Amino acid sequence: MSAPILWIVFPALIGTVLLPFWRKSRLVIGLAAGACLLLGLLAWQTPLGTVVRIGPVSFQISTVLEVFGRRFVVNATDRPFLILIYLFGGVWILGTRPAGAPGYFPPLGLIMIALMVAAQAVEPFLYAALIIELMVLISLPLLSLPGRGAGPGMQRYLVFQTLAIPIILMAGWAAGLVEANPPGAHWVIQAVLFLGLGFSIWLAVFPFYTWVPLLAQETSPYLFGFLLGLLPVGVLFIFLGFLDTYAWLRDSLLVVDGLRLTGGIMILTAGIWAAFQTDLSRLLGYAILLENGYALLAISLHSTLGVELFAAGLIPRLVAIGLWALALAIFQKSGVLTTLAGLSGALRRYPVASSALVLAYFSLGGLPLLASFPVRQPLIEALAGSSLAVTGAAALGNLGFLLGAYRLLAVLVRSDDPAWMLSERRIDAVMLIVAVAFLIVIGFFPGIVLRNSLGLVQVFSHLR
Amino acid sequence: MTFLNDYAILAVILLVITALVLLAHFNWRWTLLALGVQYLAAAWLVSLSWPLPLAAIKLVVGWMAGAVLATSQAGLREPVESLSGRLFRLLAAGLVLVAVYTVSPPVRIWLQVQQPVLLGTFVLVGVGLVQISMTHYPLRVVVGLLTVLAGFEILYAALELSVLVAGLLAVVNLGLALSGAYLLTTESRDTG
Repeated sequence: MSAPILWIVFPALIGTVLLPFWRKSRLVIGLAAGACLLLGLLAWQTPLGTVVRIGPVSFQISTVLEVFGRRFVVNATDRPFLILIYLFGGVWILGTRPAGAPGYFPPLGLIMIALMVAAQAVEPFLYAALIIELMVLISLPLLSLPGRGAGPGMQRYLVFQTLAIPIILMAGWAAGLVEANPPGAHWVIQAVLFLGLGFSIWLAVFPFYTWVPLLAQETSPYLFGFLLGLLPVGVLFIFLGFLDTYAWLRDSLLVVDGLRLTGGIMILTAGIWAAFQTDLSRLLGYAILLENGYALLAISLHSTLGVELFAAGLIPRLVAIGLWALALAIFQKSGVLTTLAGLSGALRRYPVASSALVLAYFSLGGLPLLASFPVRQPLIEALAGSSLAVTGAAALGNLGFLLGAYRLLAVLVRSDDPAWMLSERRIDAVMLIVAVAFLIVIGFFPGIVLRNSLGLVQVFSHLR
Repeated sequence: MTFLNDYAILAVILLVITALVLLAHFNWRWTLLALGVQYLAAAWLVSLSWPLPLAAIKLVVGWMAGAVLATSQAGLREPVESLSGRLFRLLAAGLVLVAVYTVSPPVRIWLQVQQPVLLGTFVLVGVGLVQISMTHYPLRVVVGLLTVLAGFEILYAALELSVLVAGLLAVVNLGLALSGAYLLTTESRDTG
């Protein structure tokens, strides 16, 4: 048995086998979520690369799988990532029915998670570009809802993600040349430019972000949240992999300054658009762009603190995006229009979903006592030491984003009807309350979760 | 093999013609026929860098992608395109071709690949990008993406020989065609 078979081939196979049975949604959800949670648990408990003894039986889980001369490596340092990604997937799949997502989401979601793990595990990791593209292609049937064709958002999503492949592959090739010719500053600039362009397209950096709000509007918010929860995190890990591998890249001032500037612009633009946005699905898109911006800013700190802040921000980010997406999906399933006008007075009719939506929004906005604040505050503080202009841009963008949250709050509480009613189903309410409690607990006791999430970046030994 | 090397410029001419047909024609039969010829010329240029059997994979995969797209065309109404629209796209493609001719010599010094390889790459990537940027019709978008990828594959073959990359790119090409077919059928279901 090898770890790549267990965490890549096995879930991909389960997903493929379950796909024809997608109409039996309970069975498919149970098996897919069970597989995810089990794999997350195994990642937590199973030592990799060492001999395991259970009574008289002893065995070793190898860490390498060779395919066509290239290697997929899953070793002990990847375990935190496996735990995060499979627990994230399991919980998300469990929300399929409350969110009203189609029955083929669990198997396709499982395959996408397996591909994401494959993208992290492949060596040389420039092949990750092709694996990510496969994930994008698999996501298309998921995003294309019955009754709606391929809208401009979906088309742009496909176009941008596909155009990133050649650029990233060229970046990998140029990076190889730099390694082969150390004094070749000529190739360094080319490699950095290719890399910058490729990752900018992948991460929907300004001005390549237009598909994000469009896609958010065209598809189910729950599926959009899953995709945009998974994809940027995976891409950011691949980016960190590049930085960790190449010393000339991580020490390049061009990269550090570029990351800082890009992160600042992302936060500023996402925040400004968010302040004027009335569609909550599109706002979720801007929230994800804002989070990507903060992740880039954390990496741009070029220090152990920066990488650790990036890792610490992942769990609050995923929980808040999940909560936002689930709340929106529950509103849409109930026939409520998820615009500011449509949600007018919703707090009295959907108190749990409304509160969850506002809390998720405030958490992503970095409001004190919520999950993102303990990460956001030291990040801004450290950033102020290196660039006041970018700090100001980030603060302005964040302010714009929070203005949208206050608008939402004002709309939700506005009602002439004094009566309160609980319109959410019990299971929906329970899922929302658990996620809300998680955000609040992290906000009050950040050490519990955030300290443990630092293991996520232990794989990047040169960055820490 | 010597013939393929000596007359590689013919492949570039074929690529220019097919790229212009893909850009100007909205009839799906013409489109897929041009796509098939385009993959033939692309495989020709790839064979300058790779062994012929490996280069033939590009041809087979491209034709399979075309076949997949063809299966989704039954009963679909094609978008009506005015003459001025076609002329505009051809004009844009003409500008791209001029840019290709201008840019390729300095880039050749930088990348150190054969001239036909570079010309073929730039023609396909440039015209493919024009195609993608001027349409909302899923078939045209997918054909444009396949064109860009085919162009890139010609160049990448000259830079790196990896069976895994060849395999993954083949899967990506087929996946793109399948996705395009799926999007086309959902669109026809929705409108029809």
